[in-house]
Amino acid sequence: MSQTDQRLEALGIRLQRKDRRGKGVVAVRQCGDLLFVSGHGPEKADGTMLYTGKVGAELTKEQGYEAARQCGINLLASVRDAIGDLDRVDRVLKAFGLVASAPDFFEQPAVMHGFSDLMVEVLGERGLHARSAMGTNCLPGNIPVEVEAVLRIRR
Amino acid sequence: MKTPEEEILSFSKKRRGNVVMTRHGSLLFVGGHGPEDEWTGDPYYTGRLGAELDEEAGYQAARKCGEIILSVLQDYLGNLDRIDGIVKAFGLISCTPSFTMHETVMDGFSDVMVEVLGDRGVHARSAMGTSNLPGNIPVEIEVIVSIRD
Repeated sequence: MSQTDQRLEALGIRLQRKDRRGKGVVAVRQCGDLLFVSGHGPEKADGTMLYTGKVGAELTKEQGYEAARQCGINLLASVRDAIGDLDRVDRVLKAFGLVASAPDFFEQPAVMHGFSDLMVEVLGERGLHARSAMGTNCLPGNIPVEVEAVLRIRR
Repeated sequence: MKTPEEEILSFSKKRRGNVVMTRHGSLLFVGGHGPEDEWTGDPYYTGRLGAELDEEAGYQAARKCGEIILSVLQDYLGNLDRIDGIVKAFGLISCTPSFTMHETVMDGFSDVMVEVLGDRGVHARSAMGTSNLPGNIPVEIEVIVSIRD
């Protein structure tokens, strides 16, 4: 078992979801030592959404945090599926977080901490990343959070 | 002999420091393109998804964005065979707050990439809704493309 997998087990996080998008779209596209990862939503292992709705309206900031964390779990699952072993992740370079927000909700960064905290818990220093967060009036399938990322891997 | 950057600057229309694309090594970063005539700037589609437009019209608008991006790449590269892969696409969709079919709209772009480029057209993708886009266009798409010599 890889070191990162051991870390996941210690944290009680299971990455079991396999993302098979089809239609010209893949979850992860490798280009040299960079991985470009598609936007991931907060699906659970059974395929249903952890939450739907907008943060600041149907959902609280804390629920948004949990949703962003679930996005991170799914994103790591896709990366592991693509490269086989998360020990090969050298660095999470950049993350971009979209938060479906009520018009008067301004705490998108507090929501995105759910994603960033998870990256550091699982990957340590390698999980530190540059990040942007923005609010939007709606996201695909009425999900509250969507996160995409660029990672560098060891070859 | 021009550098790649100079080549792009001489070919593309310049708008206040904003160019159609930039290049780093074998990667091209292509700015957001809407369903607009590249010369006149006139939009082929306007309005928001879920209001003036339904997802079928959105699909067609995203397809048009894809065709326009391919024409820009053809202009720059001279030959679409030089595309190694469409690496990443980011789609902005102007919509009402209750619209949920963003992925269906973006399939218009992805379908045209795979129809034209085959496996090289397969890409990572994100889609988001927004309340306004420039000129009231319904879709705007930016891409990162890997090229070969």
